[in-house]
Amino acid sequence: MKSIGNLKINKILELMLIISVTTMILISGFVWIITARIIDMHEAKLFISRSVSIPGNTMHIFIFTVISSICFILTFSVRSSNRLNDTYIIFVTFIIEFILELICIILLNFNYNGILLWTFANALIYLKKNKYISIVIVAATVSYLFTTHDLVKLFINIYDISAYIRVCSTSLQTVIFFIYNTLNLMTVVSFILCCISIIVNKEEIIEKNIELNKQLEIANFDLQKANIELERSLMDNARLAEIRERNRIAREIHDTLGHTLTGLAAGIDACIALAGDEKTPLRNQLDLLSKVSRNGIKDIRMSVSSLRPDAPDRLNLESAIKELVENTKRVAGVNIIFNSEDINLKFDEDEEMAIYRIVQESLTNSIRHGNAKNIEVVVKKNFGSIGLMIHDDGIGCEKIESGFGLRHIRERVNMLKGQVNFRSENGFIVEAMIPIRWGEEYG
Amino acid sequence: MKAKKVGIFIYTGIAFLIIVLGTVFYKFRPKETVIEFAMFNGSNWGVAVKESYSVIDSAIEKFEKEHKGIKIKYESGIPKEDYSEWMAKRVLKDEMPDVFMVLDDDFENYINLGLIEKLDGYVDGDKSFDINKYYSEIANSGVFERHRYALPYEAMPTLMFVNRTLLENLHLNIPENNYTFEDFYKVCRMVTLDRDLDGNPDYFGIYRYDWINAALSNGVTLFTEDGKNSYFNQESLADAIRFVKSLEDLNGNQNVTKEEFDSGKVAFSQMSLAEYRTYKSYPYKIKKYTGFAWDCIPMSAGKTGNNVSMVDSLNVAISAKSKKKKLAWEFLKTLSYDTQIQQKLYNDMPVASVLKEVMESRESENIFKENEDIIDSKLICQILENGSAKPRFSGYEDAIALADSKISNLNQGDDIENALRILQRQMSKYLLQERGKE
Repeated sequence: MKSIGNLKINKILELMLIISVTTMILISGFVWIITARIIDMHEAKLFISRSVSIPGNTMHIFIFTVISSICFILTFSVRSSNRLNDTYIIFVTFIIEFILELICIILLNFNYNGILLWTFANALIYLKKNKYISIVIVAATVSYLFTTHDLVKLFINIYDISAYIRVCSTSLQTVIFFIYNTLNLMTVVSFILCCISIIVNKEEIIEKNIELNKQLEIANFDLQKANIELERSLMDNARLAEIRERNRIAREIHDTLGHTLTGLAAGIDACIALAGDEKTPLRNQLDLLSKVSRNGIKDIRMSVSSLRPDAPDRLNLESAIKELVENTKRVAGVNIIFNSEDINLKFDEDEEMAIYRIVQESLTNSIRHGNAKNIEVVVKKNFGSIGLMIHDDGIGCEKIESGFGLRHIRERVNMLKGQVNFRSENGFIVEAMIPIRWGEEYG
Repeated sequence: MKAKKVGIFIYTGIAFLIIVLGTVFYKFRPKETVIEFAMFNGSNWGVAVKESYSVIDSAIEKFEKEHKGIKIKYESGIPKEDYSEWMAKRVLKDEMPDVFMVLDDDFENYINLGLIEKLDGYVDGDKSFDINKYYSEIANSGVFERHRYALPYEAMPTLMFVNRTLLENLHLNIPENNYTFEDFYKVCRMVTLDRDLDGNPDYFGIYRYDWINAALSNGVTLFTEDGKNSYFNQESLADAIRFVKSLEDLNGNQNVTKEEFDSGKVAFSQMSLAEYRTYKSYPYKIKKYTGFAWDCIPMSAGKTGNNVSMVDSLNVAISAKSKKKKLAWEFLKTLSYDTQIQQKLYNDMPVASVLKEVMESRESENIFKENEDIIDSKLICQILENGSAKPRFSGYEDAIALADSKISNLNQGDDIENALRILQRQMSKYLLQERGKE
C-alpha cells in the first residue's frame, strides 16, 4: 500500500541519497584534484609538513567512493522495488550499505558522515513495527557520534578537508567552504524532514485506524440489528408454517370427516323417511342419531373454522372481536359488553390472532363452564403493551385447573413474551398483558 | 536422502577443486617481487662524492643474491635539495618507497603522519640482530618517543681542523688528543700574537667554531629528547659561551673569512669527518688546502665535559604502508647492519660506519695510515662512542637559530648568565608554541 505520505518519504529519501552521494564524491574528487595540484605546484613538502594525516591514494579513494555510491543507489532501488517485504533481502541491503558507508567514512577521514543518516532514515521506515528499533537507534547514535570529525580527531590523527581547501585561492576557498557547509547542512535538514514525514505518516495511519474502528463499530451494530431481524423472520416463517399446517388439517377434516358425517346424516335422514312418522323406538333412535350427526357436522365446522385463523384475517381485530361478541350473544343468549379504548388498534398478525383467540377461548369457557350471564371484555392499550381483561359473573372456580383452553391461552401469550393471569373473584377473570413490538405501532 | 548426499559430494568436490587450483596458481604465480628504495644523489654532508650509489649497488647485489627472485629498484639522480619534496610527492601519491633514507628535517613529520614503520617488533623479534652492535648514541637517533623508527646508515662526527704548517712555523705543538679549553686557548693566543706590531694579529686562532660545539664539549645538554624543554640557564653553558667569546676576541676586530682560512692563515677550524676525508683524498687533495699541511684532532674538552663532539647520522626507515615489510627489514639490515656493506661504506665514502665492529676492524685501521695522519680509526671510534647525537625533533634548527642569534650578539664583558636566563624564558615560550605541552 503506497499512501501519499509514503510517497513523500520516498521523495525525501531520494533527495537525501543524492545529497549524501554528491557530497562524498565531491569531497573525494576534490581531495584527489587538490593532491594532484599540490604535486604539480611542488608544494608537497610544505603541505605535508602542515598536515596531520595523509589520506592514501586519493584516486583509489575517489573510485571507491563512486562505486560505493552506485552500490547505495542499487541497494536503495532494491529496497524500493522489494515492496513484497522480504525482510531477509532488506536486512542484507542494510548490512552491505552500513559496511560500505563505514569504509567510505574512514577513507574520507571522517570529513563526511551524513551518508549514515541516510541509512538510518531508511532503517526507521522499514523497522516501523519492528521490536529491534531500539537497537537500531542505539547503533545509529553510536556510529554517527563516533564518525563525527570533530570527535574522532581528538583520538586519532585525521586530515581536515579545510587543509585541502586552503590550498586554493582565497576567492575559491569561500565558494568551496560554502558548498561544503551547505551540503553538510542539507544532509541534516533532509534527515530531519524525513523524520518529520515519518511521524506525520504514522499519525495519518493512527487517524485512519481510528476511523476504521468507528466504521467497524457501526457495521457491528448493523449486523446485530440484522441478526434480530433474521430471528424474527425465522419466527414468522415458523408461524406461517403453523398456519399453513392448520389450514391443511382443517381442510382435511372438512373434506374427509365432514364429508363422511354429512353422508352419514343424509343416510340417517333417509332412514328416518323410511321409518315413517311413527314414534317407534327405531324412529327415536334415528332422530337421536340424526341430531348427533348434525351436531357432529356443526362441531366439525366449528373446529374447522376455529382452526382457520380466518376471522382476523378478513376483518381488523376490532371488528373481528365485535363480530365474535355479537355471534356469541346471539347463539348463547348472554350479555357481553365489549370495551375498547382505542378503536384504531392495529397489531401484528400473530398478536391480533392471539388476542382474538384469547377472547374467543375465554368467552367459550365462561359460557360452558361458568354459566355466566354477563361478560365484560376490555381491550386497552398501556404504554408499550396491550392489556386484555375478560370478566364474567359466572360461578368461577375455587381451584383453577388448567385445561386445554387455559393452557392454550397461556401458550399463545408466552409466545408473544407476554403475561397472563387467571383468577376467580366474583366470577372468573382472565387478565393478559402482551408487549407491543417497538416501531410497529400504527396511529 | 540420496540426492542430498550427492549434493554434498558435488559441493565438497567443487570446494576441493577451488582449493587445489588456488594453491597451484598461488605457487606458480609470477615470482618477481620488487622492493623500492629511495635515496638522494651525493653526500648528506655537503661534500662531493664520486660514485654515490656504489655502496648501495653492492648492497643491492648482495641482497638480491641472498634473496632469489627479489629485485631492489631505486630512482637515481635525485639531488639532496629535492629529495624531501620528491618524497613528499610520493607520500601524497601514496607511492612511498619501501625503504628510504630519511632526512632529519622530515623524520618527526613522517612519524607523526604515521608513514614510518615502527621497528621495535623487528629489532626484538630478529635473533640475528643486536642493536648493541651500533654506537648507542647513533642508534638512538632513530628513536622517537621511546619507539625505534629508523636504523642509522652512516655516521658523521665533527672534528677539529689543525693547520700543521702554521703551527710548525710558529714553533707550536699540536695539542694532544685530550686537550682542554685552556690548552686550546693558550695555543690560539700564541697564534694570534701580533708579530709585526701593526695592531692586528697576523694569523688567526679559530674559524667556524661555534658555542654549540663548545657547550657539548663542556657537558651541556641543550634540549630534552622530545624537544619540549630546554636547559639554557646553565653555568656550564655560560662558561662555554665565555670560552668561545674569548677565542673570538683573540682574533681582534677582524672577521675571519673563508679566504683567510683557505690561504692558511687560520690555525683551527671546526670540520666534519666528511670534509676531512674528502679533502684529504684524491682528487680534492690537490685542489684544496694545498699551500699547507693539515690534519684533524678531536674537540677540546671543557672543565665539566670531555673531548666530545656532535655526531650526526643518516638514517634509513621502512614505509608503514609497505606490503613487503619483512623483506624491507631484511634489506634495511643489509644496508645498516651488514659488516661487509658497512665496511665498504667506510672504505669508499667520506663517512664513518655506524657499527662498532667495522670501525674497529683491521681493514679500517689502514684507512688513515696512508699519510702520517694524527687522527686514526681508533680516535674516530672514541669520538663516535662518546659523541652526542644531534637532536632530531622538528623545529630544532629554528630553535638553535633563535638561540644563536641571541648568543652571537653577546660580548665577552656582558652578563652572560642574565642573557641566558632571558634566552631560557624565550626558548621555553618558543618550544611551547612550536612543540606543545609535555
